[in-house]
Amino acid sequence: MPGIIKKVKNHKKAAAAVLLILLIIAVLLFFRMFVLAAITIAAVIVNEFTVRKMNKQKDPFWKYSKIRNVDFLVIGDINPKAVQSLSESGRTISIFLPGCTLAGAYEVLRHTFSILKESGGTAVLVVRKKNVERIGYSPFEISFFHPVTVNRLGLIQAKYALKLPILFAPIKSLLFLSGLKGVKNASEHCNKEISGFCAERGIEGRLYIII
Amino acid sequence: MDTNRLIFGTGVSSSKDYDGLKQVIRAAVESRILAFDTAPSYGTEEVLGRILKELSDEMVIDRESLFIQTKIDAWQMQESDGNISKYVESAMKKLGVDYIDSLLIHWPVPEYFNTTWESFVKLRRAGAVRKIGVCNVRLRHLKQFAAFDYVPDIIQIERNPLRTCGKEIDFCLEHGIEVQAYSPLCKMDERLRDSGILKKVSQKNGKSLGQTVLRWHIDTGVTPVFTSTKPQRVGEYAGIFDFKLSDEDICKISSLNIDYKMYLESMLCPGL
Repeated sequence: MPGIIKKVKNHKKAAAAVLLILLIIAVLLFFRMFVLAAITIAAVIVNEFTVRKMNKQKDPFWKYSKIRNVDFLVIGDINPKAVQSLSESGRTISIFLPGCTLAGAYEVLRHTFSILKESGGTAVLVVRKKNVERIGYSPFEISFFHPVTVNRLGLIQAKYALKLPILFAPIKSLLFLSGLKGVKNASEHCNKEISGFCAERGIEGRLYIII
Repeated sequence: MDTNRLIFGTGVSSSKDYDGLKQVIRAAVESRILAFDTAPSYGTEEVLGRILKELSDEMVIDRESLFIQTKIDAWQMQESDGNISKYVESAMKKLGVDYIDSLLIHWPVPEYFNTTWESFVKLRRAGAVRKIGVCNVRLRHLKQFAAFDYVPDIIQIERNPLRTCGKEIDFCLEHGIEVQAYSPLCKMDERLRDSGILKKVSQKNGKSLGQTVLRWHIDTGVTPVFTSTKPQRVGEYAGIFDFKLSDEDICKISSLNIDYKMYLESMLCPGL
């Protein structure tokens, strides 16, 4: 029992959130709103698994990971065939960012490129055509951002978005959790900013746009 | 005995509480290690200042004999848009000193680097800081700095036998820039701990693996910034000034290089 009390004391905010959710469910059940209660429970479960998977995606980048000097770093939306065959030829780390914008994928690249081999590594960005010009960052991109980036981009809701992706990006959360790896067609495009950024760091930068 | 070639770090793996830190700092001072490294993000500036003041009074150590190094963190660069002098004043107050021996940019965030560096130069000119430098830089950064006439006195990088940073060190030695190595023992990664090369060289010299690696840093022109929570370990590491590695042994240890890094710079300093 003292162990539980200690745990609750150490995680006051989490404990408060759990109590709030239980209270909401209890209120819904009290008023016999069973469907809404079931949806709430499902959303909470989906959210929990999404957050866990989102955090797990960052594991290779932590200091205790031994994964370093990989050949390919694939960042972005559903992995097209062209990229799959490309990355099969070497050690690859993939970051799945469903529905990400080009700006979001590029910002994630700025945070993660150091995992690549210092000379000869390749960064591959995959974005849907409709998201090339759009600006915006989902919780999946933000989870990689340094606090300095969060401040610079003015992402004031970032800390809530990271805890409640189901609320801030419901469709993307479901896509992320399902881990859909499509076989969509994509074509390679040239982007001066990405190529320049990568060339300066001794790596190759490639951009694939899903048609 | 040139124990100033060893710096005791109070970073990620060191004790943070007064009692724990005082024990190891006492062991360091007793071993004539008088150089200390801290940073705002380590949360040790104040406690380090207090301990050094107490030990200086007790063991009669003058300020000039000490080397105190701190850093400016990324959030400070951003919050002040590079005008970091107020943070330096605050650091001096916490450390209880009227000048800082060395001030480093912890993570050279590109967006705020230039203005921060200009502030650093002003502080050095004003005498508040004696040496200025940058952490976590690669050769391309050093070349860029040179192009802008930004010459750091010191750089601090992650360096150990699994990541020898040869190009950076050659550049710095050629340009008179002092190189410090953080995580100099790579937390005794099993690839070092189980290395036959390191074991053989250590046995030959009658030293521990840790002592051999620290000596390798010094014999390759680099000052290791080490830490430990154990006073006896601090004493052990101080005992590396009674031997030297042969050129052959240095080459053998350097051959362990696999460009491995614990800390991914881009995660801690986006766009670096």
